[in-house]
Amino acid sequence: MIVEAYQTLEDLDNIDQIETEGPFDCKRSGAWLGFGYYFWDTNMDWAIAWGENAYKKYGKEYVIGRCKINLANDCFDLVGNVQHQIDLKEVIEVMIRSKKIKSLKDAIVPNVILFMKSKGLFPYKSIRAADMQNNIVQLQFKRDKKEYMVINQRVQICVIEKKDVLLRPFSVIYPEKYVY
Amino acid sequence: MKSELANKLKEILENMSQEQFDQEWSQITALELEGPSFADAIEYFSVSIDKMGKFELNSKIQNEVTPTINYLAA
Repeated sequence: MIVEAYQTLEDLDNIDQIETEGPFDCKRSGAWLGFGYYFWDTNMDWAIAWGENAYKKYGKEYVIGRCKINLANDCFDLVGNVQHQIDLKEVIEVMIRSKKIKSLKDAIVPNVILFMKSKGLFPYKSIRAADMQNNIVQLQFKRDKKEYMVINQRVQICVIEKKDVLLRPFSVIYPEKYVY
Repeated sequence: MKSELANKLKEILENMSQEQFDQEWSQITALELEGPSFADAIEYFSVSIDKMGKFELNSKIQNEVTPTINYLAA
């Protein structure tokens, strides 16, 4: 499956550079799936919301770049692949049972992903995951039932290895003044 | 355990001394990454019977299909 993906970046009046050198990898501590190139999957509204919160709120401008990502090429898909969800859960359980981690604060998902990468256990070129936002839409199956379906998950993709996954061009498509 | 990935990790951990693990793990934690805790991730991906909803087939379907099971979880 190939999806359109969006990356939100600060507008430093460097559109040509962004389109030539971008997308850019995330090396911040908040890289919750480990280091890599982070994108919003398909829904550009999430990229805009991120720009408003991370940049606009602090008086900065932002741009959004778009490219395509090939998820068929070794994606650890925590949104669309139930086996991968089981894999992650069981990997965490193995880590816990091993009792090798001494500090609770270090027992976090990105650390175990990095550990597996370092041991050559993580063959994936990208990770796809959804986080649960306050403004997700819950579509109830029946009005008087508690079961519901989430229909606008905020899905992120972390590309670990660009080759054959990240499909160029990477074009700035927001705001409109940069579209030509 | 159903996961091949988890089985491989288990094997690696069993063959690592605590000292060796500590050394390699400290290189990872030095990066000071932030993310979901193990507990939160387990809860997110787990399905417990008491959290499951009760799915009832409506009477019309029950009469027409004669289901053998009308609850996914009681």
